[in-house]
Amino acid sequence: MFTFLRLVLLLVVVLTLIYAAVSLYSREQRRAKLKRRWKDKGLTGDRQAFIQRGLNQYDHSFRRRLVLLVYILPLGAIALIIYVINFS
Amino acid sequence: MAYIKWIFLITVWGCFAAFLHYTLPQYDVVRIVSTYEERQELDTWKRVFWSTPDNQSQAAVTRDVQFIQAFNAGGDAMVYRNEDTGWHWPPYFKFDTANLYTEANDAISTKDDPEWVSVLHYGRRSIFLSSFPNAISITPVTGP
Repeated sequence: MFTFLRLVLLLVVVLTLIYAAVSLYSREQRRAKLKRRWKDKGLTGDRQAFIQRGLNQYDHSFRRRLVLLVYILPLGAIALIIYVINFS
Repeated sequence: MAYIKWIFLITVWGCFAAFLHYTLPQYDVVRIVSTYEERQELDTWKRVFWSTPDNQSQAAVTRDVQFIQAFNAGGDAMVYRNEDTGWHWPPYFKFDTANLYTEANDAISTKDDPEWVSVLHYGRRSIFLSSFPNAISITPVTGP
């Protein structure tokens, strides 16, 4: 029981760190892309509002939810290994 | 001076390669001859070559370990141990040790009428260190 909890704790800590890092990195990439778009298209108006709007759109987008794969893939792999090794 | 750098690099990568070779799975096609259970005294540094099953005390130095004896097609004796890896390293999550023991006993065959099985295992057999590969699963195959 305790070794299982130990593994769960380790996974929660490590995966959360990775999720946070990837999340922040992804958001910064989107911000950089917005800034580049502003510059390349020579847009006018309120630059900050443009970037904020773009980031809001990103926050509700599918791409942001894809980062949850950081949790799903390792846990899925473990479940798959347990099934294949023990039940087939 | 450059020798030292090369020797160091080769040692580091060699250790990494040895670790990978020990931990990653391999298949052997063998004919199972027998199984047995033996008490092991694991109070030396060689304990690293044995698992730590959950259902036995962590602090226990002496415990019973199941083994599977087999021969491969070339006539070499192969002995595997049969231990839970549980939730520990390496991440095989093997819990069905008793079931595997049963399957191994069912696959026992003689030289005249061999029944070949493919054993998925990790680890390395060393007669000097008395280390045994850990059998993960057994699949019947048609031949070597």
